[in-house]
Amino acid sequence: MAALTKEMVRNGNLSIKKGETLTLLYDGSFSFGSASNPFFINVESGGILNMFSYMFNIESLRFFISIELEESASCNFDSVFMRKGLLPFSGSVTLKHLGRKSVSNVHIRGILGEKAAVTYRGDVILEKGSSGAKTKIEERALLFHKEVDVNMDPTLAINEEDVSAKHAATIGSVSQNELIYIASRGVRKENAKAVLGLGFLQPALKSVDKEMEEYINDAVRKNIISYAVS
Amino acid sequence: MNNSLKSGSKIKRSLTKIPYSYGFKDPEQPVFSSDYGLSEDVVKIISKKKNEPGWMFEKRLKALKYFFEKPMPRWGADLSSIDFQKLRYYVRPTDQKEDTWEKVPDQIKKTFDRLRIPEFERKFLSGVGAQYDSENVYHHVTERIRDLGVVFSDVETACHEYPEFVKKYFGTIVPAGDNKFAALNTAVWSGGSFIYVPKGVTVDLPLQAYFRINAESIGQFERTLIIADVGSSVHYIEGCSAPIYRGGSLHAAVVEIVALKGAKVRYTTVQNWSKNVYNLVTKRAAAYESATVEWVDFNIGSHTTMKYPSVYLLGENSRADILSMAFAGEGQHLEAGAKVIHKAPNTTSIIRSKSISQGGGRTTYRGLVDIGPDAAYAKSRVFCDALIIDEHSKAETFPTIRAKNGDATVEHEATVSSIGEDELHYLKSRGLNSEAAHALIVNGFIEPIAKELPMEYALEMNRIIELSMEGSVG
Repeated sequence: MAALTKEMVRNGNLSIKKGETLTLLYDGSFSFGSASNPFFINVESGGILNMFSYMFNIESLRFFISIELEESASCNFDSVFMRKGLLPFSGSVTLKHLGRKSVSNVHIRGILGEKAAVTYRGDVILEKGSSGAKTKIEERALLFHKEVDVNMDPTLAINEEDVSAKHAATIGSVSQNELIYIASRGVRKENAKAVLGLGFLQPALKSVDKEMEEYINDAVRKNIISYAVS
Repeated sequence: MNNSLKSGSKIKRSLTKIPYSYGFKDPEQPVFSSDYGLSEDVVKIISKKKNEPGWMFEKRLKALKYFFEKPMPRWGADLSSIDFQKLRYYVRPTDQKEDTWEKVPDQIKKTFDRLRIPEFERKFLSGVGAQYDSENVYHHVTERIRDLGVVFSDVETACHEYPEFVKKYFGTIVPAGDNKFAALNTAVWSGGSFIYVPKGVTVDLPLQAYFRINAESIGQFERTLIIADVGSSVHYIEGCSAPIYRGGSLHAAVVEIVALKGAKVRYTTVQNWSKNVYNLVTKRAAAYESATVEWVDFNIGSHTTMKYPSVYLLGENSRADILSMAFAGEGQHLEAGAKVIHKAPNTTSIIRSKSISQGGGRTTYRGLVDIGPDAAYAKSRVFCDALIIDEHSKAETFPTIRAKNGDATVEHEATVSSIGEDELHYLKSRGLNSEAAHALIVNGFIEPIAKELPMEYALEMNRIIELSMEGSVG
């Protein structure tokens, strides 16, 4: 797994060659790109991009990334975040399917604590010529506090007939039923909330290796109680 | 429906043959027509012809200023072909509005007969308004409904007879400065409907308005204001059509709905403009405590449509239910979305959108769910599904979800797909030919919307879809 570094994004673009696979990790420690000038990744025919990002700090953060998929190229973009405080977090992922049978899966899950301000945009464009392409985009936000500001824009633009495109987005608070169930076993409310929050993030960790999964879960466990207390 | 449709190009060929049953036209015989172009003089003429109160004229002038100041929208459909100076803003077909069809001038009556409006009125409706170009030519409400205190007229009449309502609500749900086309409507509005339903009254059969553009290169700018008082209920239906002309026409309506405590309003639109009409409409409702507003919005006509029926949920436990359907063929771009703004606790909304693109048509769902900080325990669900029939067509979904309250729940799902070979194969193995199988699948796709339409419109919609599939395959 290669880390996405400031040097890489400074170059402005990245190319994954024909048939190659790149697994990229972004740790949310720096901002990059802009709406008009995103960091650009091209995945050539048969290439695979697996990108995982996690954002657990509460500094102001923004990133803009645009990924182009040629024939039979694929991209799995998984992202988890926990945010609180007034400093804004803005993420934008654009996936352009240029080639036939290209595949993309975007899975974003995040927890919002007190005064969190989050905008997460996911745009998928299936261009003419991308017949047989498949895309699925999923954005889910779990709200741990009443005072939040969350914007989600999962968009689809389909210019080809023979494709499959789905997106789903949910924003919601912790289920009271689940909370009561766990609390009734003698678990404090904030701990119960933390357990549910940890469970909520797991589907977005499926693509990472065991080591990274443990690292993320440890980081979540360390921080999540401070989000759960309200 | 994820698999490929190999026969798309054949379908496309047939789709261009879809007949538009309402494209007939009458010779233009207006009693008055303004010159081409928009200016303060045009606004003065409209106001004078209507002999309206000064306060309304002031609203028009202010709105005209907004219109000239505001830029064209920089998003959405391509509106660059609209030339505001090549349109007529007021075409008056007759000097008076009638309350029996016998008094309506023969030529105009024949048009509405062909559209079957008098027949529908007799069979299914509590009242009918019929607008021809810029003015209502007919307005009638049954005695039984009138006796309940229900008012169904046009806004011009309401300005004189019910000024307290018009002054209180006109332009409050859709302010003149809301957008360029709302400003234009407020400046030059003419015709439309005014409905007041008194406290506790249920209007059991729908009220209907039908809007017909006959003249070439005109703008139709009807204005509708519906006030449902506490605990009342009403269903309003609007239909529309126009002849096919080489030059374009503009339809820029504004609809404002006020649903007071516990009221229920259903607003059904069957939009079937000819393919030379730009249909740029602002429709918005305010729902107070425990009120329900339902939009059923079916779009099949027009060259370009931009329409996003909206509900502001202002009172606790208020509810919005929006069904949106677009069926775009060759040369059409139909943007048909929905917006719900949750401003109060325990408010709920559901948006269901279905769109079909065929023969090079383009559909766009553009939606917004906005949960405000005071909307604790608000719940919203959005489903949008798009079906692409052939390789020349396009579909887009642009949902925006905003939440500023941590107790809210919002769910959104969308799919874009084509007709699957396996589904076709299944139906064909049961003895259906390819055309029938395609039509059945498309009808099944839109069934959730179709069943909400009044029967006569649902039948018409099914007929259009069947025609669109005729001769498509094999």
